[in-house]
Amino acid sequence: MVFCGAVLSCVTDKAPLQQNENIVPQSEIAYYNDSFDKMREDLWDRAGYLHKEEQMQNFKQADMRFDNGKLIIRTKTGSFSKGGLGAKYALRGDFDIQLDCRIDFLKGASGMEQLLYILVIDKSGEIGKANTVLINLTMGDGLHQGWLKSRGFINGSWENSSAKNMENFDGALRILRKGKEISTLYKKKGVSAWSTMHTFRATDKDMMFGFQLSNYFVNRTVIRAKHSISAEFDNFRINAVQEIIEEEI
Amino acid sequence: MDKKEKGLMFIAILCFFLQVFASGTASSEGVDSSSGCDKARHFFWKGRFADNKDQARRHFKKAIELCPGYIRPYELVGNFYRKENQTDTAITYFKKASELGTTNYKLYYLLASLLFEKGNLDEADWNIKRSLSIRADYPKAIGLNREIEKAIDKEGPRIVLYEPATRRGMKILKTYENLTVRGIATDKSGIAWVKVNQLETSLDEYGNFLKDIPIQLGINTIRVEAADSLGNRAHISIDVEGEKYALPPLSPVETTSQRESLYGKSYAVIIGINDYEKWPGLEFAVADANAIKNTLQKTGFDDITLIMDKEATQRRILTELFHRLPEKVGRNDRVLFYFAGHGQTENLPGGGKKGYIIPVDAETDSYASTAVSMEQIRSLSSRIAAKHIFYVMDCCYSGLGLNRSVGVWRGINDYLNKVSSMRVVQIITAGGQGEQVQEREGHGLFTSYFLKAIQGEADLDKDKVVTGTELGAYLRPTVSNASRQAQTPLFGRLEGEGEFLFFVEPNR
Repeated sequence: MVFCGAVLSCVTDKAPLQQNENIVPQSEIAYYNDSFDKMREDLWDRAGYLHKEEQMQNFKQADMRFDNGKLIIRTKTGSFSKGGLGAKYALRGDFDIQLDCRIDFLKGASGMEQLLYILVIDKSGEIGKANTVLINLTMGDGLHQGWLKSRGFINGSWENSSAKNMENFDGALRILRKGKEISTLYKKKGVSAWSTMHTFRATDKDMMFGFQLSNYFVNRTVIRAKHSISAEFDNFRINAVQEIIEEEI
Repeated sequence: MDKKEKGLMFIAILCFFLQVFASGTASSEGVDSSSGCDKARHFFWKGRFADNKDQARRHFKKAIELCPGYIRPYELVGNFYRKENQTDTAITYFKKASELGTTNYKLYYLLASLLFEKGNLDEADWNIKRSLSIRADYPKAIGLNREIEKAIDKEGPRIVLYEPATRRGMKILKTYENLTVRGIATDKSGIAWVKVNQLETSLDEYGNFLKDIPIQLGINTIRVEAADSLGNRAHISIDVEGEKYALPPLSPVETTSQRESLYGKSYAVIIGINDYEKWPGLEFAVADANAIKNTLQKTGFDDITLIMDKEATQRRILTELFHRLPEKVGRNDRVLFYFAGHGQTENLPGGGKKGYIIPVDAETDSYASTAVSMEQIRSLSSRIAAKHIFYVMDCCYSGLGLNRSVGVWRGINDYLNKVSSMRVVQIITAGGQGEQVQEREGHGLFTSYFLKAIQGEADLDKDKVVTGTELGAYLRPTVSNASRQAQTPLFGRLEGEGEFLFFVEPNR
């Protein structure tokens, strides 16, 4: 096996938050879990920010549909295209969240990229300085090899992450915070133990969660995108959280 | 992956949230292939992470301009105006989101709160109900809903009097000291209390109330007041004239005229079952029922219905109790219900108990649907006008919810007249749950002592009248001792403060 980037840290079963850590009861958390049977307008806003004028002039929202208890996002062809969801609430204190996702990369697709990620971001952060931790599954323009990676933008600088080659991915991604430490984990389908990707010394401020599928990297100005890419998302779960901060509306 | 790719990926992964922090220069103007709605979300997210609310509002409005059917920006713009106390503008934006079909329960709550502030109660009510229909447990909406309902519901409960019946507000009543006030109060928010002349009444879950009150000679104003759960009150008043009532000599009660002065007609429904279809047979239940009938006939009961063995089906018993009796019984009458047969107590999942009498055709494993519950029998008192009802159950139960409080103090003058004028429903059973009914000398032990009791042995004060309380006081220790504590009768009153009176057979 050829590794692109650092070897992932050892396989481990990350301890979940314990019951005595003042976590919200499961009966209340359950409301925020989403099995993606339908669009939960009370939980999510649809993503759609565009970075460049060129993207704005040739952009189409990715198709988002709910099929058989899954959210399926499929990008459009011939244009910049992406779709995703961002939580309407913030997570306060320690938390443990996870999302099932599946992506089959298109090998050698040129004139586009393939990018799936989940992230948590400091809700109160200033522009360009917000602490962020994410897990992404990406394949570059024309490449035949995808990779799984975790990165953190902490106090103004990027903390290098570990990476792992991925032909495709079918499993779950998980982000866990205790105090200021945020750990990123993944687990492929059929595997019982979680693999820890990285632990960041980040922040204990309120954070928002989101996920997205896109057919371009942010600085791309021209796109051919002859192919659609699609990804499935399922079973968003808050395993534990100390407090959920709802928006006023 | 080379360094350049890493760099591209590194930038790209910020797309979702960090992108919105970047100073995007995108413009929606000019010819492009993107539709307005494709671009609208970009401005929405710019608004979400804008430095200040003016910037945010501008971006949200741009999103609306690009995509007029995009609901979310209306909600957020409306909320800005709400917080700035620009209520009308806020309502306009919120209503637009509503028209577009938002399912945001918070929006409907906020819209309802604004409409409520403006006094538009009907629309506020509609919107708060909509909020709760989307998320029934939203605490803010629950609280506001109550406020709105309180504001809308200004009316107190509806009060209907069953007793005393009135015509044009005046009831001429020949009465002696006490009057039973009985009726129902209803309100969609529920009834908190009912009072008669400032005295709180008994009140069941349906709003049925009952109170015995003292009456003076001359005009008495009876004021019935009820409050709903929102605090709204209503009242009705009637005038009752208490006339001087010439009482016959009362001690002891020996003549027919004395008895007739205390009761109108006396009814009895007597049921005895030996031969059950599916339950084990009994030996003396039918004989007991016959003996009861004979004794009651001699002591002033003039309308006795005897239902034996195969006739004693669930349908027949219910028909007798709930159709025939109510048609013929008047308010000055007394009714005795006697049952000799199997009884059954069901332990309810919630921890309570429920008692049943078992008709001849009852199933052994589904008596809840094929027997007659004590709740049904108790409800008889609200269907018939009789001032006195007495249930005699020669079987064992628990869970009857008996009120063991004593009635009127016996030491007062004209005790019998007083207790006979007050409504009462009393019950006595042969024993408690799990106890075994004893049989002796051709009768059930309980019934044999019951017969002796009403024939005069329980007439403790020798006034030729056995009151319900005297009966209980006599039977409990007597039956318990005779059965060597195998069965101890339960006695109590289900409602009212009067006393059921048994007249001792003349010449005894």
